[in-house]
Amino acid sequence: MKAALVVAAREISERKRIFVAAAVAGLLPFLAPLFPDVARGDVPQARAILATVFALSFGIGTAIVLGSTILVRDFVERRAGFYFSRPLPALAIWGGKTLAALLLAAGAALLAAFPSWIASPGTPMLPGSDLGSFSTLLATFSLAGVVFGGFLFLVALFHAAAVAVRSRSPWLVVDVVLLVLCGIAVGRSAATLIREWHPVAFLALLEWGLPALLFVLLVAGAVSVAAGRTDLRRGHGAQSLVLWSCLLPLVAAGALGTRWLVSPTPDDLVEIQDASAAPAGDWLAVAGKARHRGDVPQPFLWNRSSGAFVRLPRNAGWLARAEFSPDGRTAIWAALESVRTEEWRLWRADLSALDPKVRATDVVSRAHPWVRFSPSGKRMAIETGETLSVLDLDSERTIAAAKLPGAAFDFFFPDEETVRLFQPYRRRGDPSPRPVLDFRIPEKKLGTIGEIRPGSDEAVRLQSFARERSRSAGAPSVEDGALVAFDPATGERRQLLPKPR
Amino acid sequence: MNPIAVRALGVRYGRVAALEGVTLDVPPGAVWALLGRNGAGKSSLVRCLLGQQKPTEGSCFLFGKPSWDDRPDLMRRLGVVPEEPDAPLDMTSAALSRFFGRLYPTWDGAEVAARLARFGVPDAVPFGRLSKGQKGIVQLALALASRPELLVLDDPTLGLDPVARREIYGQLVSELADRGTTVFLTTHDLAGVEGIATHVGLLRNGALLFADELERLKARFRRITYANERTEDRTEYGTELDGFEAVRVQVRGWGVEALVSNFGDDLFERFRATEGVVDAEASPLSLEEIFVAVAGGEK
Repeated sequence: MKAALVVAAREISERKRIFVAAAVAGLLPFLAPLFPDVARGDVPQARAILATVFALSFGIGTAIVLGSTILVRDFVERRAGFYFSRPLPALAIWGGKTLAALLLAAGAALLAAFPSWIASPGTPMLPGSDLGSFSTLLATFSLAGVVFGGFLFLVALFHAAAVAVRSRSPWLVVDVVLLVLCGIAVGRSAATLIREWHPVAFLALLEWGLPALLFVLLVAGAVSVAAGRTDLRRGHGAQSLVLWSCLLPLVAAGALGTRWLVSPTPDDLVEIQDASAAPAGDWLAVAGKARHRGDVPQPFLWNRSSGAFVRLPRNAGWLARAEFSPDGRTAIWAALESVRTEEWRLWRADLSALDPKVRATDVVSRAHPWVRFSPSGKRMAIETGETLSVLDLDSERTIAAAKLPGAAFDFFFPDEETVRLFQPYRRRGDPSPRPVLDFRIPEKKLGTIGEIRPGSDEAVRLQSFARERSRSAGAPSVEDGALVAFDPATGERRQLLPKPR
Repeated sequence: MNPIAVRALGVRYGRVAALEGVTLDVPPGAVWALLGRNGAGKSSLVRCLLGQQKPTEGSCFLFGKPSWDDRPDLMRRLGVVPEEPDAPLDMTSAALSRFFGRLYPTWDGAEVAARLARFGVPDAVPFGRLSKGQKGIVQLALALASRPELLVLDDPTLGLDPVARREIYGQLVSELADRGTTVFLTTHDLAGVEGIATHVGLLRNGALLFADELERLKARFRRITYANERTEDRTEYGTELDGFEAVRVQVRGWGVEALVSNFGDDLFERFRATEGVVDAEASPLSLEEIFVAVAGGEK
């Protein structure tokens, strides 16, 4: 330990000019009043923001530059013998240099921020928060720990990268290949956790993954110096061995854990939160809490007779709702294809077989698609934002489509040839009546057949009944819970059921 | 116990063998000079010796301990002068001395100051601003200040002018006279080392061609000149040299010149008695001549 401190002290002494530069940069925020856009009352805030920018720039920049050079440049310039021909253990050399880089980065950041903090100790570092004000920062050790840890992470990461690049050893190819593979695996796990809406697990992945990565990087750096000493190529080999022998199992464990997390079965359900039956057959759509999978509901299609099931996606928080065909032999649902592009795809399950067959359809859209089946179950209407399409279920080919005059339409088939559309919710502050539209499939024509003129902000739901498709009913209004029905043709209030006692 | 023992040392860089099967011993009190052309493997050997590089094969021992495994402890007993000055350029000699003082329990900072003062090297000037010769003096002064039992010098006079070389060797000689420190050095400076070395070894293409006491080596190598009366122009040679291990044989205008590596008085008398051999003479070789003959005609 003493040897490491001796090395650290020497390295810091060699680079003490960084502190001078940071201290000078710490005075620059006091020029904030000279900036034309800074109002007099905003000066402390502007100064705090500038100080934060300088502090982070100095800290991050110093950590990156020193991480890349403080050890590796000695090897490349053949100066490593200065330490290695002295009675200094390799770990003390590595530890001393790493400690020096960390203290220089953290010290530079503190020096760049310190004058502004002293000048206005109550001013927050970030506008709109009290994060980082002088008093808060002193009290918030966790924030200091994160910043310190962040600098250490950069030092360790850039040291490892510099060893890999400057050694010119064939291990670089191994590093690049495994880095790409691990990146893909971690990216897919993260995307899966986001898509399947496991925010707690995603945060845990960051919370545990980053410290684990930091630990592995530090161990790899230490082993690299201990095993390679002045031989950078050998050090690179040792670094790669440690790095990948630790990271590959961790990444694999993360990927397997993610897979397990998003693969519950109906047997794992400990609480049913939603259930609906297919119009015919034994299939149910159920959703509920699953064991060890957090509080978010897990949706399934489940056959109550055979126990067969299909797990539905969680679509970044949009719980997939399966739409059953009237004969109960087909179910359709939307799945988020990519979190990044927000592309959706319709999936289809053939429920007639004992083992349901699930496959992706060719229907892809940039907005969440909503699906309704025709009464015969041979057609389905798909609404994606401002477009309505009608598909033949067997061929999955579009037989008619129309652009809708707005968004947020709900819809249903009052008969095999018509799709009726309405807007259940009134836009805030918009008193105008909402149209009720019919899309005639044979003529491929969209026409207004009436309007909804609710008296208040209540939500309205039109719905066709099995036998009396011409009738519609409204949902309870907010103010008194009474049930209101509207004429689908005119939108006029037909019935008003009193509030239940 | 020998301060240095190298056993079947091999170092490879990919497919290139820098050292192969090198075995040598440096007895206590010896000044052991390792000679070799550039790229012969000298620096690789020194790095292995100092525990800075792990050999591909074989091992190096310092005071009976493996140098790779026990490097930090062994370095307390060593003084090292590297081939390229490796001290941080911004550190003054005084700062370097203070820094090393924290690492060596036996550090003698006053000796460093005195030694530098003796050679007029300023101790408040950053190392990077010193001349090459001054850097060499500083490195040697720092290497000696821990009162090492073994001094390892990797081509310490490389690139120095004759005055600086003389100063460095002068320091070495006085150090040896004072303390009897064992010295292992690699060098190109054959003339300089000839005056102080007790043992020499020659490394060529990673292999140790010979390693012996300098005097014995010089006794083994001789230049033999003669004329051959059995031939018309007295300059050809036949089987008369068969008893010698001739390193090089050249035909001159006046006769034949041979450099041999197994000279012996009896052998030479028999040679002189060979029919046709006239005007035979044997003269000693300098270390440089031996090096040039064995290492391949070039320092």
